[in-house]
Amino acid sequence: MTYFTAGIDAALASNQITDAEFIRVTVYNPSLSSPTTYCLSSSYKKETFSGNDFIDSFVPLGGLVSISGHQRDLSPTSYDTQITLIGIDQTRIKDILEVGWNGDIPQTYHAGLKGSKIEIWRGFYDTRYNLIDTPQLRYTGIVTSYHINEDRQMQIDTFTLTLQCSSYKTVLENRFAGRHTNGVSWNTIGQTTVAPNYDSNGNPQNSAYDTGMDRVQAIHNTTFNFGLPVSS
Amino acid sequence: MGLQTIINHCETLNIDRRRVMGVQYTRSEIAKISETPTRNPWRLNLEISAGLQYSTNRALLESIDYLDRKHTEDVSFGVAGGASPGLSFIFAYQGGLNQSQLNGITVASFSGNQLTLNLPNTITGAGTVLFQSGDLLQIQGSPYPFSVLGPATASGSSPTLGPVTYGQAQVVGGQTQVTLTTHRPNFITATVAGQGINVGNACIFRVFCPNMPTYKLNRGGPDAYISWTSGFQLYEYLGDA
Repeated sequence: MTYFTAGIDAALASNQITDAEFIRVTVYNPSLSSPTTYCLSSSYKKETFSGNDFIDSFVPLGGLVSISGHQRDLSPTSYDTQITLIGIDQTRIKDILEVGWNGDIPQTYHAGLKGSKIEIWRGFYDTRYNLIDTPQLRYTGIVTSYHINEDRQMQIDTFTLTLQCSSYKTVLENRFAGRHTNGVSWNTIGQTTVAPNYDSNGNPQNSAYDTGMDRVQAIHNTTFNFGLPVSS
Repeated sequence: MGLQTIINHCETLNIDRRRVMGVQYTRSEIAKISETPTRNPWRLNLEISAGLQYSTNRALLESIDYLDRKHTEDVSFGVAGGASPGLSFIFAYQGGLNQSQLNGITVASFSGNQLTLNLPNTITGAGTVLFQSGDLLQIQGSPYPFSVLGPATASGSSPTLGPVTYGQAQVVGGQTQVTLTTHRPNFITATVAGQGINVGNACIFRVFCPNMPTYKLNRGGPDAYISWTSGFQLYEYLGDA
């Protein structure tokens, strides 16, 4: 857990702020048991600090890193941001493509950046260019999209990678959740299903079995004329 | 020697060391300045006239074509580095130490923009000026020149612009030291403690030319004058730091 320290508070109150962004990308590779992390920053040198579950060194890329503006809200809100990386090696472009078979190395896959976790910190520097306390975490989200732009003008060829990132709140809003309303699914707990165990009269014998959804299948697509008087 | 030759023959030299920062003004016109802590590379913009002749500069053209916008070259403004004698005034050392005394200086530490140097005991006499503001200084083994911004004195007072005199140095652990403020922070990943230093014209710049101009041969046969499509914008290469 990082704290908003008095040193950072003083830096923010100053009219002259020196700050850098620190980005941590966690890429989930299906061929590896643990994810791969990439740490980079817009600072001038490598900085090492720890978060909730890591201690990482952030590689300086200076002006090669650009991050769009962030919203500043008192309550959690959903917003997107984008990270631009310039000067990408052409031979590494394949690394950011979708998950797929890696033809260069047998039995391996490209991890793909889409779906990767993105965390962004902001660090503040004093007048002697030393980092003030621990940088502050200000954004957590995932890479929802990316685009690669090749700008070729005569003999000048420049690649730009832009990562579109959505905050975790957006991800949660887009999540579908619920349960199937049939007897089997209703009685599934974890990986096991509670047996119905009906007797010859159709009465359940297993007290753990919940009969609440057993008749759903029978009334599925049945039309009821609600409002008619009861016939008998 | 392609870019060094261009430096030796250039008409004008524009030095750009501006840092990356944004300035915004509040409604009450208070300036809010935000700086990105970069490595602040040297940018040297050269203008050169069509004064070089083809017959005597074919090697230069070949070197320029090889360098293109990719390869780096170590250039200097000192005679020992290949520069014309007339350029040595630009980064000449302004302090009062001789070469033997300078050779005895080693780096104690370099954190942020605070460079602490161990001074040899051959420096005697209070009032000896070690460095003037604007002096170039380079850690041996790393081709990255730093300029001296001003001293941070032994008493810990705020850095002020001015010469660093021997009287301001302090004795730490039996070793006389002085701490300087450099124009940019230390980004060198190699160990710098214990390294010697180069000063003034002994410093080199590792540069490349991202806008490498093309050239044209004017009329005149073998002695045709070479003209360039633009000036040379040299950019310090910091990728190996």
